[in-house]
Amino acid sequence: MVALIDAMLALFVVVSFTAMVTSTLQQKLTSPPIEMQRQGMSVLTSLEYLNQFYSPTAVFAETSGSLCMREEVYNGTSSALDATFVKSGCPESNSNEVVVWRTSVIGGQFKSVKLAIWLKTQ
Amino acid sequence: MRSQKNRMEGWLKGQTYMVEMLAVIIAAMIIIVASISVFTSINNYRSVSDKTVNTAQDAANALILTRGFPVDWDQNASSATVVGIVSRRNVIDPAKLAALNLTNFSTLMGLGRFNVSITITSGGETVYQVGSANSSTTMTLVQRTCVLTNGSPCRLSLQVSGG
Repeated sequence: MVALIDAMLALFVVVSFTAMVTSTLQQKLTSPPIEMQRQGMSVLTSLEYLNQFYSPTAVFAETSGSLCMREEVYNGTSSALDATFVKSGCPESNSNEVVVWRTSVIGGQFKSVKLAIWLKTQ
Repeated sequence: MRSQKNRMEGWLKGQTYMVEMLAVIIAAMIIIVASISVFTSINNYRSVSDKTVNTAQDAANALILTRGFPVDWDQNASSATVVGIVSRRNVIDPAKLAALNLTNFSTLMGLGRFNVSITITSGGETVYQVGSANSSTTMTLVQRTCVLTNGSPCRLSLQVSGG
């Protein structure tokens, strides 16, 4: 009985240690939110310059394959959703998405554009 | 005679427990020292790696968001102190792009001790490439969306390797 408890404790310690090392290493692998925000800003700036808020497919295609994104165009007060676009091959949303906003004049009307970005899960 | 034998057995048993306890303490101390050593190594590596990643991200931002300094550095590449390759935010300036390989761009970006490669692709085609980076030792890859002067969206990739 004592040997069994001893073995279980040893196993628990080994599993905990492995989990700690894995967790520490994984922190490096995940893209931090600030970098995703920066990428989001460059996407919005490109869309704004090209005036392609309502046809973002070509710009989405020039983003990293590991990133997913969804663009939502709202009216000026962000109270009504005009249109939604999702990058090809991506789900519509993710619980860990990072959001970037941009206000712009599109077609003579003041609009708010929301870009949600997240890492693609395999 | 019997009681002396019992006493002897008890003493031997106690000595066995003592040796076992010492062995466990020594093993535990070795594991603790090894664990601290592993975590210190990981943290040191991450610290150097994180600094490089941050520098690369800042360099990519300077490239894609600024015109560089002086603003007309492409007229005299040796005068460049900050390299920026756009005419306005995210819009690539062909003249600055052509002058980029005349500068010591990796040093100007604070990445002098690394191999740095800057690539611009559009529609899957490489439209510009300067520098070299070894993909097997890549430390970081920073990507930004950009626009070419002909109105096509493009992707700027800054790859840092070695060091």
